[in-house]
Amino acid sequence: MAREKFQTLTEQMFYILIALLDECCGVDIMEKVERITNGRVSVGPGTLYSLLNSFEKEGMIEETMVNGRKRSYKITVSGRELLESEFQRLKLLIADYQEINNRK
Amino acid sequence: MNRELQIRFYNCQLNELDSLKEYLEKKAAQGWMLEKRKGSICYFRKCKPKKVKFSVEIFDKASEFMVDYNATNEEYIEYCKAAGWNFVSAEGKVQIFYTEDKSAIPIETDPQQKFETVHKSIFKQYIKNWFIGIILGLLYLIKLSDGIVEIFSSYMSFSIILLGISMVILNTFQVIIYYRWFHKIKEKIKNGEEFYYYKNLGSLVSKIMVACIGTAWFVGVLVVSYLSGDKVLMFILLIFVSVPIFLFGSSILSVLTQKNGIMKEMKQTIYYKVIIIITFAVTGGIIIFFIAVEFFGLGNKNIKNTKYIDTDGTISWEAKHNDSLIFTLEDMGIKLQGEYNKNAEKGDSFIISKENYYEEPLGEDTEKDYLAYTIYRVKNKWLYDKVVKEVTKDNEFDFNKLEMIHIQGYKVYHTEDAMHYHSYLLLMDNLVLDLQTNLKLNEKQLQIVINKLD
Repeated sequence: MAREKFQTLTEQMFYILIALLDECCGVDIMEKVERITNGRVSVGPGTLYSLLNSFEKEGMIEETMVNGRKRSYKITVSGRELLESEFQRLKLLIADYQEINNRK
Repeated sequence: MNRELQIRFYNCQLNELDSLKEYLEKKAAQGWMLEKRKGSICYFRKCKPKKVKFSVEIFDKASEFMVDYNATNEEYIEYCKAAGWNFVSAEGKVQIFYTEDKSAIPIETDPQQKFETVHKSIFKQYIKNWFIGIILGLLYLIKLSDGIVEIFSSYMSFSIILLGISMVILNTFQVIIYYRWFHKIKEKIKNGEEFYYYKNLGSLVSKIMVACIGTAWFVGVLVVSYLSGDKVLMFILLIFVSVPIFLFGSSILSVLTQKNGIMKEMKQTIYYKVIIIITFAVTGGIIIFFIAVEFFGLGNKNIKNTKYIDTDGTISWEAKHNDSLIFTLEDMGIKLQGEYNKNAEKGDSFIISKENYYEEPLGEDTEKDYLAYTIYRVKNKWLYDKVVKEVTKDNEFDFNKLEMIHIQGYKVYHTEDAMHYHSYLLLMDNLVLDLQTNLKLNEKQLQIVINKLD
């Protein structure tokens, strides 16, 4: 079910995985996503918490450090593959758009 | 120290949490800030009227028994805190936050995911309800194995079964209502439409149904317990009445606290004392009323002898006079030797009226004559046949081997066992008599029995 959920990544999922290309503390991800997207995409704390749990459960990210109540995560190989396949899918979308648009 | 507190009852389902959020924002704007929420009771503390944003969310990892800040929700709360949301209260899966920052990012930014969480939590709740329904269903089946007579001859067992069936119907209704809502919202998400978790008509109807079923059952049992003279059950029920009275009194007082200047300075301890006094006064008043009714003899006068009440609502009484028994050994011309124990038992149900009577010698003298009989009065033909079937089965009667005679147009079956004990089965209109005795009754004696029953 969860794998099915990640067949197509939402913007928030996509940017959380990007944020975790480098080790990052859970609560800092919200800020990092805002920074990467220049404030275009915001991830709410509840959404972030749930997604981190789902990603970890599916082996897309792994916990790297626990410091008190703060946990740090990093993307795994499977996570990178997922991110890459999403990137390829998005590239295909763009290519299809460009091809049809150029014909007009 | 300003201890002005306001208590409000606000009930909503897990898919109606946005309505609670709006309610809390309205209260804060009126100068009442939520302090905590326990079940459906919200505790507000007086504050300066302020415009704050509330967020009422479901934290799926929490169990239904978790409250406040705990090891399970601390990380979740930390995340929310980092986003500018202050934790207020948590009970079970429902977590309440507020912020004064108008630009704070909402806690849930993925409607699809939020919807899945809401659905999962409600689904779990329904599974739990269904589980309770199944347990009640099993209890019903166990009760059915006791026999249909046992169920229909007591209001209490019959009402419990009715309650079980009502709960199953109600659960089914709630599931249908919920799935209608579920598909509507799913479609909205698919189309990218905005929606809120507001109160819906379906859940209001199901709440009214719960209230009606609960009240009808409660009042029904109370009336039956009063009519049957079961004072213990009646008092237990009346004690239960004190709970809604307490809640009602609390709401009324809380409205007065807010609106009436006289009550404004009321301290929390006095507040509770007043509620408790009101509750005791009302409950006590009802109890005193019933005692007074009983004292002045307005209660059930039909039973003259020493009376006992069983837990299932069956009334039994030790007969001091023969008039408590429908017919006696003496009626059939049998002279009693020594002292006899006479007993009569009557169920409280009008569906199948089951009456047990016996006359047996005191002590262990097995030589003396005895009489024991059960009368079933039942008008419904289907139930009548069931009663005959069960009585036949209980007595291990084989109709092919029974002696059958017709008296005054009624069938009387007779059998005698190896110990020379006699069993009689008399089938009359709407009445079945199951009689055991050591005597072989002649036709004249059986006629007396029929005349007494007719």
